[in-house]
Amino acid sequence: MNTSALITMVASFAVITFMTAYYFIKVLRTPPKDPQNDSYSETN
Amino acid sequence: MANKESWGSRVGLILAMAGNAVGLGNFLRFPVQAIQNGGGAFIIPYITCFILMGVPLLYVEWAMGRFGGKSDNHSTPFILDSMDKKRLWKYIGVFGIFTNIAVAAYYCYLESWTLSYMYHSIVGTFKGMDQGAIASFFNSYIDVSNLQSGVGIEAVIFWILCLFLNTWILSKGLSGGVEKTAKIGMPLLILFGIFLAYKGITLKAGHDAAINDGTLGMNYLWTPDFSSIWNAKVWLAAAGQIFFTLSLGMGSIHCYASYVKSKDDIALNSQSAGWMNEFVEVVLGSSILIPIAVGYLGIDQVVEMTKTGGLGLGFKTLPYLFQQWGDTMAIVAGVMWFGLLFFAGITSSLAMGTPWMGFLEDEFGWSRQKGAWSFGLVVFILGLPTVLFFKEGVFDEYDYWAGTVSLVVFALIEIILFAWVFGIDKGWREITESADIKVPNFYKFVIKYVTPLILAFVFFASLPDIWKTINHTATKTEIAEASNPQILKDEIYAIRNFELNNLSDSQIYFGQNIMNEEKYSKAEKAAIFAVREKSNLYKTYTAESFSLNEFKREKERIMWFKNISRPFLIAVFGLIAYMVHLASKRRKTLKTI
Repeated sequence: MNTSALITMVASFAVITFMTAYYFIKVLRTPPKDPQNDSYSETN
Repeated sequence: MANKESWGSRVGLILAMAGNAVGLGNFLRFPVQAIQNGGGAFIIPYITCFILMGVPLLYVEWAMGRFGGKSDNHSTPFILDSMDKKRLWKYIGVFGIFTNIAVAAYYCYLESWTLSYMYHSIVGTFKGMDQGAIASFFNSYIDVSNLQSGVGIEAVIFWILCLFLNTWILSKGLSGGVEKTAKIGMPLLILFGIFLAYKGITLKAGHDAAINDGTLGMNYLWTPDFSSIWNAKVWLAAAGQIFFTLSLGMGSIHCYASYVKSKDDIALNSQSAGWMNEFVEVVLGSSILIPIAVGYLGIDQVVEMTKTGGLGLGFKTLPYLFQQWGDTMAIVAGVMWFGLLFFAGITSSLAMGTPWMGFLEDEFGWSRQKGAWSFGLVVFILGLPTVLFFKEGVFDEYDYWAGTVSLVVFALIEIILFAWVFGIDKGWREITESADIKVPNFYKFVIKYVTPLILAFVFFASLPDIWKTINHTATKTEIAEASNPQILKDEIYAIRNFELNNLSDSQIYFGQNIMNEEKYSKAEKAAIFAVREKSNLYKTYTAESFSLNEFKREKERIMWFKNISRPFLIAVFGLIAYMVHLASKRRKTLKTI
C-alpha cells in the first residue's frame, strides 16, 4: 500500500475503533441509577 | 393505552439500535461510495457529515423519542404531536410510519436473498460454477415473473419465509424478540466481519487463484484524492451515506427511544450505537468486498462493476470467488458473508416493524401479536409488486421515494420542529437530562443552525435529481441515444477531446488495471470508464441484432410500472394519515369520557 493510503486508512480505523470502544466501555462501566425502577426489565 | 413494552437491558437496547443502523449498505454501499468519491479522501466529508449531521440528529431523534414516551407515545405521529399544539405535526409524523413499512416492503425481499444464498452456500449450489453461471443464477433468481426459470418461485418462498421470521420475532416483543435477535446477531455479524476482513486483507497473489494481493484493493479504496473534497457532489454523497447508514429520518430511532424512561441516559446510548455502526461500516465494510474482489478480478473490472452499486459484486461475484478457497472454506465464507448480511438486514427490518406496532398498540389498543401479524400482512401486500416486478424497476422506485427522498424531508422537518418550534433550550434539556456523558455545548449551536442548513443543502441539491426521476430523464435519454447512436458518438468524441488528449485508444480500451496508474488523475480515470461504457452502448445500439422497437417497448414498460408505483405509495401515505386522523378522534372521545 502506498504511504498516503496507509496513513488515511490507519488513522480512520484507529479513531473510529477508539471512539466505538470508548463509548461502549463507558456504557458497560456506568452503574445503573435506579436498578429497580429504570427502563430495563432485566435485573442488573 | 395498552403498550407495556420495555427493553431488557441497556446493552440490548444499544445493540438493537446499532443493529437498526447497520444494514446491507454498510458492506455493499459504503465501499462503492468511497471508491466513486475520492477514495480515502471521502472519509473527510464523511466524518464531517457524521459529526455535524449524524451525531446531532442521533441526539435529536433519541431525545424526541424519549420525550414522546413520557406521555406514552411510541410512534412519530403522536411523538411530534406532543411537542407542539399545532395539529399539522401528527400528519408530518406519518412519514415515521410510512417510510418504515414502505422500506420494509422491499428491504425484506433483499434480506431474503441473503437467507437463500446462505442456504445455497451450505448445499453447495455454487460448487463448480464459473462466474458467468453464478451471475446467471442471480439473474434468474430475481426474475420471479419468469416461472420457467424455476429459481424465481424459490425467491418468493424465501421472501415469505423471511417475512414470517420477521413477524414472528416482532410478535415476541421488544426484549423477547428484537433485543434477543440483536444480542445474537450483532456479535456474530462483527465476528464474521472480522474473519472475512482478515481473509480479504491477507489474500496473496498466486495463492487460491488470486491474481492480486488483497492489499491492492485496500490501497485503491484508501488512496486519497484530496481534490475531490472541493466537489459539492462528493459532500452530497457523504451526507447521503451518513443518512442511510444511521437510519436517520425514518422514525425507528424515535420508536426504540420512546421506551427509555426520562431518568435514564440517551446521550451516551446514542453515541455508543452510532459509533458502533461507524465501526462496522468503515472498518469492516471497507475491508471485505473490495479487497477480495480486487484480489481476483483486478481494479479495472471491480471499478466497472461498482458503477451499478455493490449488489452485483456481493451476490454475483463473491460466491464465485469463495469457491477458489476450497470446498470447506467456500461453505464457511459463504455462510459468513451472507449470514453477516442477513443479520445486518434483519436487525434493521425488525426496527421498521416497531413504529407500526407501537402506533396500533397505543392508539387502537391492539395486542403485540396482532400488531406484528398486521405488519407482516401490510409488508406482504406492499412488497408483492417489488418482488413480482423487480426487473420493471418497482423495487428501485420504492427505494428512491420511501428510502431516500422521504428520509431527507422528514429529517429536515423534524430538526426544524425540535430546534425552532419546540425550542432549542427545551430540546437541549431533553438531550442532556440524566446524561451519562457531557454533551459538548457546541452541539446546541450545531443543532439549531448547522444541521438544518446541511439538511436544507442536501434537500435542495437533490431537487434536480428528484425532478429528473419524476420525468424519467435517464430512461428517455437512453431511448434517444438508442434511436440516434450519433448522440453517443459525439459524446465519446467530446470526452476524448476534452479530457483524454494524451491517451491513446489502446490505453482507453485495453489498458490493464489503468485505475492503478498514479500518473492519471481521478477525472481521467472516470473519463476512460465513461468512454468505455458509452462505446459499449454505441456498439449495442448499432448491432444488427438490436431491435429498437423492442428496446423502446421495454423502457416504456418500465416507465409505466414506475408511474403506477408512485400513486400507490402516495395512497399508502394517505391511508396511514387517515388512520392517524381516526386515532386522534379516538383520543378526543376517550378524553371526554
